[in-house]
Amino acid sequence: MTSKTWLILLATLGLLLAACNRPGGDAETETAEASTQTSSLRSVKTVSATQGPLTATRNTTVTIEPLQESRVAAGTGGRVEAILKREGERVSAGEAVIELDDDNLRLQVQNAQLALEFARINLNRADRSTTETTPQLQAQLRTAQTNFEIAQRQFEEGQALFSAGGVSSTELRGLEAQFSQAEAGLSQATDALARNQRAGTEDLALLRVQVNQAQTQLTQATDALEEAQIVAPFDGEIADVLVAEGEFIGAGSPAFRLVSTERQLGRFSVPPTDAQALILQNQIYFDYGGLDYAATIIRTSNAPGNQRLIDITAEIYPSETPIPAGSVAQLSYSVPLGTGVQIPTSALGVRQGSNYVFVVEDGATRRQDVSIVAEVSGQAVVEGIIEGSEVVAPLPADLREATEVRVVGGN
Amino acid sequence: MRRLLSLHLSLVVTLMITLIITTALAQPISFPEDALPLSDALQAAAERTDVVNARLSLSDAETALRRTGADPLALRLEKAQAQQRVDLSDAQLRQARYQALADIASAYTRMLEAQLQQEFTQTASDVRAQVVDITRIRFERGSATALDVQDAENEAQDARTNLASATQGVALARSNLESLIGQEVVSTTFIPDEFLAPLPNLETVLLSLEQAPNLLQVNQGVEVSEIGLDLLDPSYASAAQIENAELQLEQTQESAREAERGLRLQARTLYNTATTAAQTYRNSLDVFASAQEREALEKQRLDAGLIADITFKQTQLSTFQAFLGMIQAKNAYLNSLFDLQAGTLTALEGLNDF
Repeated sequence: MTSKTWLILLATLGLLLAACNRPGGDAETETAEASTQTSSLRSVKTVSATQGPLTATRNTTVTIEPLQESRVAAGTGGRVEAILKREGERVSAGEAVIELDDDNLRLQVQNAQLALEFARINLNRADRSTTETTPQLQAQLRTAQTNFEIAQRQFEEGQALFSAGGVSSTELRGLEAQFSQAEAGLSQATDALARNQRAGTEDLALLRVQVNQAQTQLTQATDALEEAQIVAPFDGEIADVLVAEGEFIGAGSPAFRLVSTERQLGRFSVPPTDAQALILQNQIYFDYGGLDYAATIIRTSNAPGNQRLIDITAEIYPSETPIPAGSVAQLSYSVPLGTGVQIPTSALGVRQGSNYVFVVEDGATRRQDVSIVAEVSGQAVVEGIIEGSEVVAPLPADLREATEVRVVGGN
Repeated sequence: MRRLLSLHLSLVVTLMITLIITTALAQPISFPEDALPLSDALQAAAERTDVVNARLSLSDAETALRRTGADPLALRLEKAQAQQRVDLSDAQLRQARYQALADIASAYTRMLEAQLQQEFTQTASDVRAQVVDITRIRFERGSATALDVQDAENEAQDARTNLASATQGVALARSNLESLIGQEVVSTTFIPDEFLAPLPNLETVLLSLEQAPNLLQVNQGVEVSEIGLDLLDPSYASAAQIENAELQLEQTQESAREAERGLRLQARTLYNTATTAAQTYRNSLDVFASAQEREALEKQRLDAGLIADITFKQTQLSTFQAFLGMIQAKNAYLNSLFDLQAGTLTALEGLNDF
């Protein structure tokens, strides 16, 4: 036990004895102390108040997780034909793990190819038909227009001739019928051309959509065929194979579990007051198995969880000796608690709910009330004294105001 | 002879049927009420100069015959010649009357035909004018050429020219008729079918030739020659005189035979002409009846709106033309009858009593 420790114990004992005095005795005591000082100086130790930050060191546990973990599902349904990789085997991204029976899928691809070709043929035929028919319909329209004009002229001529007695009423009605027929023919030719032109936009657009649909179906069939091989989405290690050969697996059903090994995450939780400092610090360091690991904070939870802690995730830098997934490591980190005048907490005294220190000035003590800004590990940042003040520490319990003291040592 | 008789009967039957058909056919035009009928016009035949002169000659011959008959010193030859003169004058009077009737009938029918021709050309001109209007409308509408319009206008101009000619023809025919009958003629009118006397048989016609002035005159010469021969007494006359008289008689007889043969030939020609005219008239009636039937059919089609007004008018024009042809055939037949009567002095029923 060090001498400093002894001093603290004596001071504490003194304070307890002082607290056992009867009420109203303070004035007598102070009078006695004054008479004592006159007879002998009180030996105290002092420390010089220093200016600086006060930091705290905290510990928390870091849970090691892989950066990626996936329950890889089958993209299509089918019977499991072969399991290419087993648990514990490392795989690269895109490497096949499980193969499904793809006979039906290949047929579907062939059918989709045929459907696409059929749709393309239909589109080409309609396009060609539209292109070739349009001039014919335009010619028919011109002919119908000419016929209409001729019939109209003949009908008007027939009306004039009928008035002049040149044609019979039957002939006039015949001309009128021809005119109506020519008018109908013109309308039909116009409609036919319009329909053809609409077909050039609507029907062809519809056929193009059908081609696109067939293309999409082919893509889907091709994708489904590719899905017949369930591959690893990223580099990693097969953690679990969830199916067995010969079993049928449906689309969307998990086939195996894959975890990444190259990149790992460390998850830990800290109080909200510590989180900000850590986030600003961005880097954390922790020890596992006697090895130091570094990690970069990549995300945090925005709000505290049920335990009023902030969850922080950090990506561990790649290492030749990765930590097994699920392991727990210890993380120590420093948190700045405040900046100001620092004194030992042993210099602090409490009276009537307020903190105070004794400052030695001109060989005598002077009580100085202070406010504790931060306190940790026997050090406190206080307000109420200035830097360089000689503060009695440890504070004897019986030390009084204006006590002449003799400083016997200090830090 | 039997063939001629059968032909005669067939003509009679044909004309009877024709008369029935004619009365049933409608006539496309009408004449004014003050139109001069043929019967009235024929009344003027008695006042014709030839007829008057013939009548005076007959009267003079009859006076001479009476004077000769009353003369106790008159010779047989003189009496015979006086009687011959009376007979000849009577025949000449009848011939003059028949010829006057024929002339008047011919002039009358010419005016009638001219009037109908004028009416026909007037109708044709109206139709052509309408055709011009129609063709112009077609030309303006683009369904006829300028040449078509020109053709229509030319045809209309021709129709107007024909109308003017027909009008002049009417005036000329009217003037001719008026000069023949000596009175003003406003208009003629259709000739009643009663004038279409049935043809007598050819034998009757040939028998009538005996009264023809030319043949009568030759026969009278034969008779005079015979009388002269009889009067020659071989006791008092030289043989040369007798031979000369006999030769003259033979020559006169030969002339009489020649004259009779010529008249017979002329009579046959007139008879054949009348027969042909009757046949032509019958045919024209059929044509006119057909035209009327076609017009009636076309009228139904017009009312039903199946044909144009101009088409019906052209049909009417065709009917009019058929009618005009029928009238012309009828007039030709009538004139042939009058000519037959005048040429053979065969009195025809309904044609000789004016």
